[in-house]
Amino acid sequence: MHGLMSLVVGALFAAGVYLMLKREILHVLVGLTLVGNGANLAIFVASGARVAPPPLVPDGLDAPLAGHADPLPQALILTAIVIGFGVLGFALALARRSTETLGTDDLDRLPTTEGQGT
Amino acid sequence: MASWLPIWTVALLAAAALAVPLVRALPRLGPCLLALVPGAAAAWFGAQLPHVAVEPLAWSHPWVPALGVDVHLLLDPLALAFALLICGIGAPVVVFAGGYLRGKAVAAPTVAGLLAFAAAMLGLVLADDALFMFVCWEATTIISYLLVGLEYEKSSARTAARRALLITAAGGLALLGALVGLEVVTGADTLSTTPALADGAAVFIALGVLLAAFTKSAQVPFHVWLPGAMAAPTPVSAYLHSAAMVKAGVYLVLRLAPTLGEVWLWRPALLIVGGATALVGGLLAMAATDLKRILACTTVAALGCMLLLAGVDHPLALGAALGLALAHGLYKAGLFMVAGATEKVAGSRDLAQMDPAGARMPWILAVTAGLAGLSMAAAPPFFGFAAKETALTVALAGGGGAAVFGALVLTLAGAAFVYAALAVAREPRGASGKRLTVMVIGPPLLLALVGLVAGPGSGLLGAALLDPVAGAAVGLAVWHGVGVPLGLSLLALALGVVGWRRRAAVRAAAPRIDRAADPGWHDRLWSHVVALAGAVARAVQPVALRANLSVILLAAVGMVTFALLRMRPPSAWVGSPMPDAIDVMLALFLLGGALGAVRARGRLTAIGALGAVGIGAALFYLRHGAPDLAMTQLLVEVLTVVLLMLAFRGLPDLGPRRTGAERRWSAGVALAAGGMIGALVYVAGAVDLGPGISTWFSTQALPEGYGRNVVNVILVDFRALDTLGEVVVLAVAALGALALLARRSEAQS
Repeated sequence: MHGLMSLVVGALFAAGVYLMLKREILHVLVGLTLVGNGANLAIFVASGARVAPPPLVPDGLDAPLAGHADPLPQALILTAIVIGFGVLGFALALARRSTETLGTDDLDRLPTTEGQGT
Repeated sequence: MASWLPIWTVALLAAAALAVPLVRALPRLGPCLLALVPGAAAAWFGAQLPHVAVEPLAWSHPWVPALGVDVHLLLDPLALAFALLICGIGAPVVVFAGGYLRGKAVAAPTVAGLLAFAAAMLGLVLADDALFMFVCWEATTIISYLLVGLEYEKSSARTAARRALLITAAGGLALLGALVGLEVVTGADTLSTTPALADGAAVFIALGVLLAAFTKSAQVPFHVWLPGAMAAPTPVSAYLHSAAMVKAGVYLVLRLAPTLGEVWLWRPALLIVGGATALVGGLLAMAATDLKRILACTTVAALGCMLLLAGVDHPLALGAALGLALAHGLYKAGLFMVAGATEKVAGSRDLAQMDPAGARMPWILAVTAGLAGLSMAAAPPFFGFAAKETALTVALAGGGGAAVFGALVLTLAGAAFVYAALAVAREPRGASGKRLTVMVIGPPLLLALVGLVAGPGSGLLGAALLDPVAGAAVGLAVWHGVGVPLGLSLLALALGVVGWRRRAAVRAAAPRIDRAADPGWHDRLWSHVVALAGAVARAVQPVALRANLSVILLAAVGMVTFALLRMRPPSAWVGSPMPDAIDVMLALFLLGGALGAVRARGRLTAIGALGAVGIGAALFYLRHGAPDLAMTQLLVEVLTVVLLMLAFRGLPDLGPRRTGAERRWSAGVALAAGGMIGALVYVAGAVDLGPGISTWFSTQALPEGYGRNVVNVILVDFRALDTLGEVVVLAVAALGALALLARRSEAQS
C-alpha cells in the first residue's frame, strides 16, 4: 500500500514543482499548495500509515485501542496544514497587491530592485 | 596578587564601554580620566617587576565547566614585558587621541576602540590556555578592523580595513588549527606546561603558528596590509600598528618558541621570512614620502628584525628580540604621534612638501621628534641603542651571520633616514599655523623621555624582563664598549644620513621599489575572488524565480540520490498490506487532481483541481485513523479555494506563456523532484524505526494531559510551546496580509 502512496506523493510533488516553475503567480501559488499537500502526505505515509483506529481514548479505558494510528505524525501534520494555510493567505495578499500595483502577474516581468548578480 | 590579573582586563573593557558618552560629554577631561585605567594598570604591572621573575603569578577560573574549559592567566616575565608595553603606551595614546581628534565625530569611538583593543591585547598576553588566547587573538583582529575602518565614508579606509581583516583573519584560522593540534598532540591544559615538540604533527603546528604570526606581524608577503592600514586615524596607527597589534605575532613566536623551537621548520622560516621582511620594509621606507607610510614601512622592517632574531640559534636570541620589541614600541608610538602633530601644524605630513626654506617647526615638536627619532636610529644613549647593540651582539655571535646584520643595518639605515628627515623638516609656507595642545604634544614627549631614561636604566629592565625570557643574562646595557656592534650602528647612521642627502635619487627609484616590494598580489587575488563569487552567484542564483528554484531542486535531487545509492539496505523492511479497492480509488483521485492542476488552462480549473487534491488527502487521512487531520484539511481546503478565487477575481488572465523548451525543462525538473520525493517516502516508510516516543504520548495523554484525544493533547499540552509558535506565525501572516490589503484600499480611496 505504501508503495502506491509513495507514487502519489511523488506525483503531487512533480505537479506542484511543474506549476511553481510557471510564470503566472497564481499557478505558482497553486503549485506551492500542492507541494504542501504532498509534504503532509509524505510525513503520513513515511511514518507507516495504515487502516487503524484513531488515537482516541475510549470512555472507560485509559489508553487508545491496541494498534491505533500513530498520534505524533498527526500532530506534526496538523501544525503544518495550519501554517501552510497562513503562508498561502499572506502570499495571496502579496500576489494580489503586486499584480495590481505592477500591472502584471508575470514573474519574469517584475521589475528587480537590484542589478543582475553583482 | 594574582586575582588582579583579570581585573585589569575587565577594567579596560569597562572604560571602553564608558568612553563614548564620557568623551562626548567631556572632550578634554574625558580621555585623560580614561587614560588613568591603562595608566594604573601599567603602574601595577611595573610594581610586579621585581617579583615576577622569581615567581610568576597565575590565576584560573572555570569558564565552561561542562566541557572542562578553564581560563588560565599567567603573568611571567614575557607576559609582563608585553603588558607594560600595552598599558604603558595605551595611556598616552588615549590622551593623544582625545587631543588630536578633539571636535571630530570619530574621537569618542576611537578612544572606546583603543581601550577595548587594550583589553583584548592584555588578555592575549596574559592568557595561558589556548582557547582564551585564541578568543583574544580574534578580538584584536576584529577591533582592529573596526578601528582602521572608522572613517568608513572613505573608500580607501574601507578597502584598507577589509584587506587587514582578510589577511589577519586567515592567520587566525591557521592559529586555530595549530592550537587545536597542540592540544590534541600534547593534551596539556596550559601553554606554560606544554612540553617541547620536535617532529611529526609538530611541523604542521609550527606552520600554523608561523602563518598566524607572519600575517599579524605583517611579514612578507603578508606585509601589504600594514601600509594601507595607515588610513586609520593617527592615534590608532600609533597604538595598533606600532606598539600593540603588530607585536602580537612577535609575542606568539616568543611564547611558543620553547615548545616549537626545535621543529626543523621553525628557525629557517623565521630567518628567511624575517630577513626578507626587514629588507623590503627598509627599502619601502626609503621610497615613501608620507610620514605615516614611512613609519609603517620601518615598522614592517623592525618586525622582520624581531622575528629574524627570534629565529637565530643563540641562547640569548629570544631576549634580544624582546628587547627590540620594547624599544620599538616606545619610540614608534611616539613617532606616530609626532607625525600626527606635524600634520596638525604643517597641514601636511608629506616630506616632499616640506619646504627647506619654510619656517622652523615649533621647538617642542622638533625636540620630541629628535628624541624619538634618535632612539629609532639607535643613537646612544637611548633605549633603542641599547636594544640594538644587544641585538647586533646576538646576531654576530649566533649562526644567522651576514643575513642578520645585513638586514639590521638596512633597517637602522631606514630609521636614520627618518630621523634625518624629521630633524631638517620645515613647515611648508602658508602652513595652517595651528597651535599644539598639551594633549597632542605631551604624550609623545613623555614616551620619548621614557626612551631616553630607559637607555641608561636598561640594565635593570633587562635583568627583570629579558634575562628570564632568555634563561640567561642577555646583558642589555647602554654601553657595550667599542666593538663591531658599535661600528655597525655608526655605519647604519652614516648610511641613513647619506640616504637622506641623496634622497632625490632614492625617490626616483621609488616606483620600481614599490612595485618590487608590493606586487599587489592581494588586490589581484581579491578581485579574482569577487569575480569568481559573482560568476558562481549568477550561475546558481539567477534572478528569475524559475531558474533559482531549478538549481535548488536539482541540487537536492543530486544529493538525495547520492545518499540513497550509498545507503546500506536496512536490516528490517516493514511489510505493507496490498492496496485494496478503496486505496486504489483514492490514489487515482489524487493523481487525477494533480494531473488536472498541471493540465489546467484557466485559473478556475487549476483551483478546482487543487481543491480535489485537498479533499482526496482529507479522505485518505480519515481512512487511516486521523479524523482530526481530515477535518482540518477539509476546512482549510475550502478556505483555500475561496481565498484563491477572491484574490484573483477581476484580474486579467493572460494565458499560458511558456515556450516549448521551457515546458520541457520544467517537466524534467518536476519529474526529477517528484521521483526523488517518491523514492524517499518509499524508503523511509519501509524502514522500521520502532515505536519511538509515540507510545509515551498515547499512554500518558489521559493520566498526564487529562484528554482523550491524543493528538489534541500533544498540541495543546505536551508540545504547547510549538503550538504557541504556530499561532504567532498565523497572527503575523494575518497582520501582513491585512497591511498589504489595507494599503490597497487607501490607494484606491
